[in-house]
Formats: sequence, C-alpha cells, structure tokens
Amino acid sequence: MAFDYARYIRPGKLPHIWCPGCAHGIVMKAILRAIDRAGLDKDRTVVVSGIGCASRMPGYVDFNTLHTTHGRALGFATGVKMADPGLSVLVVAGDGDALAIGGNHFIHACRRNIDITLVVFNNSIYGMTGGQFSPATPHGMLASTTPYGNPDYAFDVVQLAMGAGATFVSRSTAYHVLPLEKQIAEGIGHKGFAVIDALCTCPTTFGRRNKLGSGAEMLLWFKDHTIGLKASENLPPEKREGKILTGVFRKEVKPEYCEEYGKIIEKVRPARGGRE
Amino acid sequence: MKGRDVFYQGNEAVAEAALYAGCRFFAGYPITPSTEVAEFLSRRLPMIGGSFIQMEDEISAMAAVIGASLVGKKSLTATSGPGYSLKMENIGFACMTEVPCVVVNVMRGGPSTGLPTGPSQADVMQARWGTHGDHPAVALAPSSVQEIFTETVRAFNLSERLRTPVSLLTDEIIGHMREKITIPEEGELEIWDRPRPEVPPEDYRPYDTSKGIIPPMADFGMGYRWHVTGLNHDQTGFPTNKPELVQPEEERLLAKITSNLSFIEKYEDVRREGARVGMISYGSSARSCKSALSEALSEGIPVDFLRPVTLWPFPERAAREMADRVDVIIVPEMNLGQMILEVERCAGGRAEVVGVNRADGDPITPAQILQRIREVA
Amino acid sequence: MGTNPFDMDNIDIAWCPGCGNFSILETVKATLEGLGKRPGEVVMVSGIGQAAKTPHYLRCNFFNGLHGRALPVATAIKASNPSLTVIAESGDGDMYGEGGNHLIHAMRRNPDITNIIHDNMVYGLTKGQASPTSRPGFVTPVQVHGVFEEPINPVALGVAMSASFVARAFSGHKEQTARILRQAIEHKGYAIVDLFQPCVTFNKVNTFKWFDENTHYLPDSFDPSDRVEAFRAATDPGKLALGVFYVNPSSKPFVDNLPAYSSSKEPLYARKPDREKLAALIASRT
Repeated sequence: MAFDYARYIRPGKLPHIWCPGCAHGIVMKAILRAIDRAGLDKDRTVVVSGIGCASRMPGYVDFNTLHTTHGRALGFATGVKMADPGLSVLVVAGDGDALAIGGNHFIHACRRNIDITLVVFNNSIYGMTGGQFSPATPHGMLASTTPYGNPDYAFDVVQLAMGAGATFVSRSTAYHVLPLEKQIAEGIGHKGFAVIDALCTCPTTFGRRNKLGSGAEMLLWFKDHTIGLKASENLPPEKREGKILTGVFRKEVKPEYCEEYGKIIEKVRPARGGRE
Repeated sequence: MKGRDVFYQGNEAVAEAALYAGCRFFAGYPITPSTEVAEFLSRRLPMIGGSFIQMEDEISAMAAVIGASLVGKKSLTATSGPGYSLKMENIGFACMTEVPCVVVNVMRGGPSTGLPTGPSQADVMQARWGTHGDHPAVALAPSSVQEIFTETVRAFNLSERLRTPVSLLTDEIIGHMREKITIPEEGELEIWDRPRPEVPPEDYRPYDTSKGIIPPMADFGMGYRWHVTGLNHDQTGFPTNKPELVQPEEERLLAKITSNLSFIEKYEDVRREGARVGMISYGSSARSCKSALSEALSEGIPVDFLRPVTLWPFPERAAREMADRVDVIIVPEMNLGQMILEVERCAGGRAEVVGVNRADGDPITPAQILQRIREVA
Repeated sequence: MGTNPFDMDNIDIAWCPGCGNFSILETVKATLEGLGKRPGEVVMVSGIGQAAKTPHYLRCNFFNGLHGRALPVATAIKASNPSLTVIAESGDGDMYGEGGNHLIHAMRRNPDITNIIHDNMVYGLTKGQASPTSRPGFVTPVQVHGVFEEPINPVALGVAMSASFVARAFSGHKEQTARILRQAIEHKGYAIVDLFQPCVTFNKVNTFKWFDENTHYLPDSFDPSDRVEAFRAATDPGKLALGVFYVNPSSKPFVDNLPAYSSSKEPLYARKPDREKLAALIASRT
C-alpha cells in the first residue's frame, strides 16, 4: 500500500518553497516514513529547525514545529527535550546552518548525548541566500563567494560527529531513499544523540555553477560515487578511491543526558507527598 | 510581609524568587558577576523536579530557555554584559514568537570585556533596543535585595501575562551585596501563568487575538501541534509577507506593552513641598540618591524624586509631570548618559536636564550627587 | 632571572600560586627563544579566562580579545602577514566551550598558526564550574551532583577532522612539553596542542599528581602519519596519551590556498591600493 504522506503533511501548506530538482523533498519524505516506521505520536513529536531551505521543512509537517534562528536549532531542541524528556525531538538543518553558524552547538550536542535526532540536509551550499560556499562545499568548487574556487576544505560530517563523540552516526543520500529512511528510523530509535548526514542536491545554486547537470543527474552522481560501508571493506583501495562511504558508522550505547539528569532528580527530590 | 528572613546576596535572591514564581528550567553559561544565580539553581532545581543545564555558550543557553518555555516550563537565564549581547538574537526570537522567558543581566562595566567585577548601568539602552527590528521590551531595575526578590517574581508574571521576554537589570553592587530579606510565604505574592487555550486543538490559532491582545499559548506536546517561527506570521502562526497582515502583528507586539501600562509600570514618586529640583534614578544608583536627598533636605533644598522600577517602558507620564513642576532634573546613572535621553525627551525643554555620570567601575557616591544638587539649586 | 627576550619586567601576575600556567608561560618563552624568534615577530592571541591572560605576561605583540574568539583573529593576522609567528592561546572553556565552533573551523581551514589550550578541566576565572573537558563525576558549585556528560576530546576531534598537527602535553613535564611546542610552532599549518595543566584552586581532582599518574607518552615507535592508529590512541579509555598524535602529510595552509597570494607573495598589509587597477576594475564591471 502506498505510504499516506497526507497523514503527516499539514493541509494547505504546500507547495513548498524548494526549487525543481531540489532533493530536500526526498529527504523530508524519508523523515516522514521514518517517523511512521518508528511509530512516533504526532502530538508528542517536536521538529525543530534553524534557518535555510531545509529549515523550512517543519512548516509543512504536522507535528509540534519550531523554526528558530540560524544555527541555533540544537540549543532550542535541548531545552525542549530537557523540559519534557518524554517528547521525541528531531532537528532538521542544512549544512550551513548545522556546521557553520551552528558548529559549536553541533559538537556539544554530540558530546552531551542528549536524545535528539539530527538530520543534516547536506547539499554543500547556502541555497537560500543564493549559493555561497558552505563548510561542506568541497575544496576548489565554485560558489558565488568563491569565484576562484573554494580555498577551504570541507567538513566530513561523519568524521566530525564521531570525533565529537556522537553515539549514532550515519550517512546516506537522497538517491538511496530506503537506506536513508532506515537510518533515520534507527536514529530515532537510538537512545542518545543521532546524526544522519543526508547528502542531497542543489541544482539551482550549486549544480548549475559547477556544471553538474540537472537534479536527476546530480542524484545519479550519488549512485556512482558512493559505496556502502560494509561493501567497501572487501574492496581494494583503488576501488574505494574517490568514493563517499555510506552506512551506519557508529552505534553505541552510552548514558543519555536526560536519563542521567533524571537520576539526579530522583536522588535529591524529597519523597513526594505534598506540594513541590 | 509574612515569611522567612534570610541574609541573601542579590544573585541568590534572584534564584530564590525565580523558584517562588514557578521557574522550573534554567540554562546558562559561567560569567562574572552573575554565576551565583546558576550555582543556586543547579542545586535547588532538581530538588523540585526542575532542570538545570550549563550550555556551551550564552547563545544556546538562551535558545534552550525558549525551547523549555514552549514546553510550558517557566524559564530563566542569567548573564552579564558580554553574554547579554550574545543572547540578543534569541531574545528577538522570543519577542517575535511571543514566548515568555526571563533574562537577568547583572550589569558590569563595558563595552566588551570591560570591568567584570565592577558595576555599571550601561546596558539600559541595550535592554530596550538590543535586538534588531521593532520589538517590545520590558525591563525591571530593582534597587535592593528585597526588591530583587519581588521584581524577579514580577518579571516572571509580566513575561507570562504579556508573552514576552522580560529583562531584569541588576548590577554588580546589588548582585553581590548581602541584605536581610523576607522570603514571602506562598500566596503572599500573586503568581501569573501564561494564558492557555480553552479551545480544542482543531480550533486553535496560536496568535488568535479575538479574545484579547495576548493570545493563549499551548504547550508543545499537549496535542496542539502548532508552528512557531521567527518569520513574520499571521494569526495561524505560519509565515506571511503580506503587508496587510504583517503591519497589524508588528503593531500588536508593541501594543501589548502600551495598552497594559497599568500593571507594567512601577515607580517610586516622591514629591516635596516647594521643590524646584527633581531627580530621576534607578537601580543601585538610586540608593546613593536617597542618601543625598535627605542631606539636601537637611540643608533646606527639597528635591522631588522619581525612581522607575520598571525601566522599560519608561514612566513617561511621571517624568513629564516632574518636568512641569521643577526647573532642573538631575539624572544620576552609572554610565555616560543613557536614561537621561529618555528624561530629556519627556521634559521636552520644560525643565533643564543634567546628569551625574560615572563609568569607572565605582558606584556614584551620595557626595557627588549632593554636590550636583547644590550646583543647580 | 635569565635574559630571555620574551621576559617582561615588573608584571603583576593574577594567577594563583602553584598554577600550572606559570610553567606553561616559562616553557612557551623558552621554546620561542630556542627557535630564535624575536618578540617583534611573534603575535599571541587569546580570549577570556585565566589562560587567556598569558599574553599579558610575555613580551611580544598580543591581542587579548573576546571570550572564545581568538582563532578567527589569529587566522586573519596570519593571512595579512604570513611572516609572523602566530600563537592562539587560551583555556579549555574558552577554546572548547564558547569557541568550539571556531576551533573546528580552524582545523578545517588550516591557517598556519599554533593553538595552545591550557586544559585544566575547569572554568577558573569564574570560580570553578565544569568545562567541556571536565571529567565525569567532577563536582562543582554548579555541577553539584557531578558531571555526567562525555568530555570533549580535542585530540580525537582533531584527528577525526584530519587537522594538520594534533598533540597533547602536560605542563608538569617541561622538557617534553617544550619539544612538542617546538614541533607545533615549526609545523606549517594549524597545530593544536591540548596542554594539561592543574588548577590548584578550583580543581582538586585533576591535580599535578593526577596528571602525572594518569598520563603516558606515545611510544617512540608511534607513527603520527597513521590516522587510524592516532584516533585509536586518542580514544583509548585507559591512561591519557601525551605526544604528537597526528601530522597530516597532505595539508596545505590556508594562505597557500588564498587567491590573493597566488600571483604575489607580498603580505596583504603591505599592499597599497593601486588607483589605476581600481579604476580598471570599476570600468570592467566584473
């Protein structure tokens, strides 16, 4: 049976603002299917975002939704989760939002291991402001503010998250919709901070300037330039050269922030009989 | 007032009063001279089932405070100048989205790192105009540790009733000074909660003003799946850039304040027979003023005194009335002349306005103020 | 006292007696002298905190900026005048807490600067709150029930991000620290040295003795070009390793990637506006 997206889309809020060929819609649908798969209660789910194209997603979906300031979504989400640890909290963010202006919040959320699922809509560019280079723009690529090629080196979101101590780290692409959905669902189920690096495309401000073809062609590039983590282990180095690894890189159980704080409350709270 | 007597530092009084007002969430970042607020609440909040978190910086601390408030928890952060600057972006978000929260700024010398252990009143204009865009601002400036207690409670009440962030401006003097205060018994001070929706979720419009200028606010997680955005939005909460919808909402944000002055404004207004000199001061500087005023009176110089406790909105009517009564208004403040601009605006040339200013990290002394009184009297 | 050119006379040092900052200051000065540096060619950039006061206590160019913000300033100083030796020096709260974002972006951008972090696992200046490197169980006036978060691991973070040079040292071991600092300063590219240091006043757990007992040096056979091994050593749950964990063999400093330096090596600060070129540029409308 076809998946019933209407159950999760707010009536009257489409069309979305995304350009033709943009892969954000694909990632949004993967998130909705993952939420469904994880069996979350819409009333008890909060979706938080910052600023950017990807951050417009919460406006379209039927949950408690919070569209905040640039880069700060994880801070807001941390407050939401701590104030009511029974809520399921997801954060959606673009690469500029999550990694540039929000980079500090990103590494500290990884370290804190608070039960929040972060999906990075990683299209390697600032789309909303018209194609400036982001921390995920590969070295040498063109952007409106790197007319001579990007002098910086891109973040590897997976490596950054692992180095910062995240307990669930995975990567997939908008081409690989089923693994992406599965990873997000697994991230939601994971008790702790989960980072899903969702590679996606911006044909309008990144593809066109770098002559990468249409949105569809950019998606096919993912097909040809990624390789599953498990499959890669049996391949000789020359076959791995130039490929982006996908899959679940880390999944480990560590104390979760709110649970640990809950233990403190249990310890110091006097026996409840009367008022607080 | 019935209650329990304690010997408290101003920062401790903030924390105790926050709990009294119903605060159940604090997020902060270490900064002098405000850290005692965090220390106190880190100990006490979990005892009553509340939560404390030290974030990676002041920006995320402000964000977390707004997030927790959206879940229905009364929330607080405390900082000083440099941190207040960093919080401004998200204070603007709370103004726009109408999320109640309280921000304590224990003022110290500046700009920049300035004088971390020296008092100042140089953030009073920042409290009004610190975040970008047209926005409402409520700021309170207590003068004593007891008043810090009552004004912290009032900051929460105003924040909840008006659905707007409220700044509590103290400074290094009253933040660190110890005084005997009475912690009122439960029920002695009134406690307000934000208006919550009485309609079922399907009928809920987050910025519906049909019942009044302050729309009811639903907690996240209670079935009202609403959308919060810092973009200009219509009454449904979803973004709009239609001028005919944007303008009334922008105006309403300000009208929330201007139409509720009756319970927002608070000031001490002392009028003396035959006074030709007036004085307007606030916060810890007002303490030096009081000492100088009684000296002046004993020298035969009666001086009217206006002490705004609610600093923003500024008590315009009271200031205008003073300008009508006296020839000169003296404005002592620990900065190089900020609130004096408001006083000049209100005086409108009907009285001369002069300052007593100090920005060296030491308090203004009664002697300095008395000297000025003698000069103008 | 000796005659180190970086010595400063008549200074009133704000650090507590016994603070690890003293030996770091001495080691940094000795290292700079050993490298033949002159005070005029060294710039020290810091943020806010006890460690961030270091630049006040030695003779060189210095910039004591805002909390957490030393690295962007240091990056731009180096880009404007690549002949300078630029050291960004602050504490763990400053560099890893407030400034964490600048840290990871400096690793990525790779300016040729040395980043020394006095890591005493506590906020000292604000009197003893947990910092991002405070270890689980650490009790403070704010973390009254003990820290329960995973501390940030700057060495693992640096290796994970393929930072140009990643090392850790302990202020109590002056000789070894001097060697590591020397390598870091000589290294071409971003070099991070996480420098353990006891805070005698606000950290009664991670004392001089604790650091001495809970650290060990990477073996001489350790190959710092092996990133996988470096990450393993960085995340080893046992004693904390000291030494040079990782040197990225293929890193290219930020300045070498800047288009402004592709046709001329003249430092930016020395370049004068060329009115003819400017007029031509305006006329060309590109």
